[in-house]
Amino acid sequence: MSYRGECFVVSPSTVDTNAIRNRLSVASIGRYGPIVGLVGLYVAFTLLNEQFLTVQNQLNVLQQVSIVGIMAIGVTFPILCAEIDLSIAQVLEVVGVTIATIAVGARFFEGQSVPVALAVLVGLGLGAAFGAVSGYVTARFGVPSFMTTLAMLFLADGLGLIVSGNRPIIGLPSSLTAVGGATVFGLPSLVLVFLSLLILSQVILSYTKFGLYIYAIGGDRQSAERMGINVMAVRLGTLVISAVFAGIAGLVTLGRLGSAVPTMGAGLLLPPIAAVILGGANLFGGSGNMIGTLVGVLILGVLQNGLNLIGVGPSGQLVAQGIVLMLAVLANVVGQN
Amino acid sequence: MADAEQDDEDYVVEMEGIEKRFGEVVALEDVTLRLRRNEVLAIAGDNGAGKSTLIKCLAGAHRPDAGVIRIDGETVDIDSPRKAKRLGIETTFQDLAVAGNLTVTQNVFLGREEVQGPNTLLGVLDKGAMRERAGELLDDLKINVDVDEKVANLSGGERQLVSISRTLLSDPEIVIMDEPTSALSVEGADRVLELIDRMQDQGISIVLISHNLDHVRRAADRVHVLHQGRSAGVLDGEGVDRDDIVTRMVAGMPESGYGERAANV
Repeated sequence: MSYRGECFVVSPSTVDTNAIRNRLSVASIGRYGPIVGLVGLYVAFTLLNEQFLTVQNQLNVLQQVSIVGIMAIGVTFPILCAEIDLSIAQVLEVVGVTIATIAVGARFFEGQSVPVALAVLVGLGLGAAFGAVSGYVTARFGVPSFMTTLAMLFLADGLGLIVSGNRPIIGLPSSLTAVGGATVFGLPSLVLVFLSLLILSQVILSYTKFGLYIYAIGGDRQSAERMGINVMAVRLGTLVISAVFAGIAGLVTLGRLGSAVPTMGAGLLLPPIAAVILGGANLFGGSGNMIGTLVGVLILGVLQNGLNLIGVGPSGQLVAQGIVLMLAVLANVVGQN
Repeated sequence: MADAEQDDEDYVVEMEGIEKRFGEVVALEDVTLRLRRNEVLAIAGDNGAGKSTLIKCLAGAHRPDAGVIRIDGETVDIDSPRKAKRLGIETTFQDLAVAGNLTVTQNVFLGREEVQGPNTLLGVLDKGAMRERAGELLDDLKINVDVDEKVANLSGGERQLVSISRTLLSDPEIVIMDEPTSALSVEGADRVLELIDRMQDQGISIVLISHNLDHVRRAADRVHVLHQGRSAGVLDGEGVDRDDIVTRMVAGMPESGYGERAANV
């Protein structure tokens, strides 16, 4: 029973309404905070530097964020499902050097070069295998993905060094470097790959059973299980996707660098995860989306690019990123509770 | 009061001589439960009386060690929850099985989504159809919640209503409800009891487990009392004496007047 109109009875229903209203306003911090933050950065850097808001510089930003962005999209899947993938940077490396080594026929695969398309398939298949192993052990035996993907981190790292002989691989076929290094309709192909994967991933999340189940499991795994969802397949699937996307990031990195370097994943583990959280995804799963991840990726990228333009060096940029991340996770947790 | 059980009734469920043991512990011994078509039958009993074990035998979660279960007069072997669902038996549980971060529609359909094209994990959700059907289902039951609202924003009672309407999606003949009101406020419990009435109006036969004797007396046509794994009589719900239920819950089937058996136990 609820009282409507000018009645000021303190009944349980009015208390409920107030509680919901308060929560909504706090929740809106979590929801709109990231986009407000990004717009704020744009306004600030536009005022501080006239080169910031030019087409050329904005294309630079997009190009700079694309690799981290592809990885961030991939790792959004496990994060929404209340899992984590710590192996993405090393999977990027091992897939990148494997594709390069097989395509060139060097080192571990000396004299056995294969067509570029096949090399790419083998590389991405290897990435999927890493995700499948950690995903299977996590979903089947209940080992936290934190641990299984940590194991994959070491495994992928070592395998990358073995395959490449711990030296760069140069002289890549131009069809291979084109994936991440060409220009299409005036846009870097790298950026196009990033944006296409972003749209594809959002479609999967919004319109498929798999996407819905990711949210259901991320929100409450036991409920989801009891309601008849194939929890194991979905958890495994998110870690496979994350690893494949890390592999794709490795592929486009070959074009960006023009060669394969065994350490090319260095420093690339945490920015993608930070971007997902910056974008407002719940730290503990169940809410978030790819638009949020895009916003998070751009916050990191714009911050770096803008600070660069106004003359703040790499050390100052790290300090700024730390502050922004702290504010974001604070808003995230306060907003969710 | 005479036991309200006659043999010429139209029974939708008959469980006869049900026995269930867990190792040395006898959970159910020679229990016979009959559910009439379109009635609300409550099962009352103290903790450990065997209420849950009995309905789990019907819901396919347990298999009885002895006894016969008939649905619509036909002997059946309910060896899994899936089989129970196939036989038209749905169950709602005490701890709400709902996903708070999803909408009402998503909760109603979760695990049974309607998809366009092949029904795989990558099947494309038919959101419009599901939303419409959820709206119709809730309207029919006079459940006044927004189908697009996140379940976390609903009250406990509303959540239970959503959880119950989940079971009605498959048009079941029999619904088992395990303590549907125990976690709810007075208002929430009221709405659930009203829903039970409406489900009965729609022709569903209901087995209701509840600790709350007021709820039992309000919703049930008959009350089946269990005591230490045995039947302690079936009472007519209407005008049933609260003390009569309590006595049987505490002391079991009266043999010669109330209380004597209690002295013997």
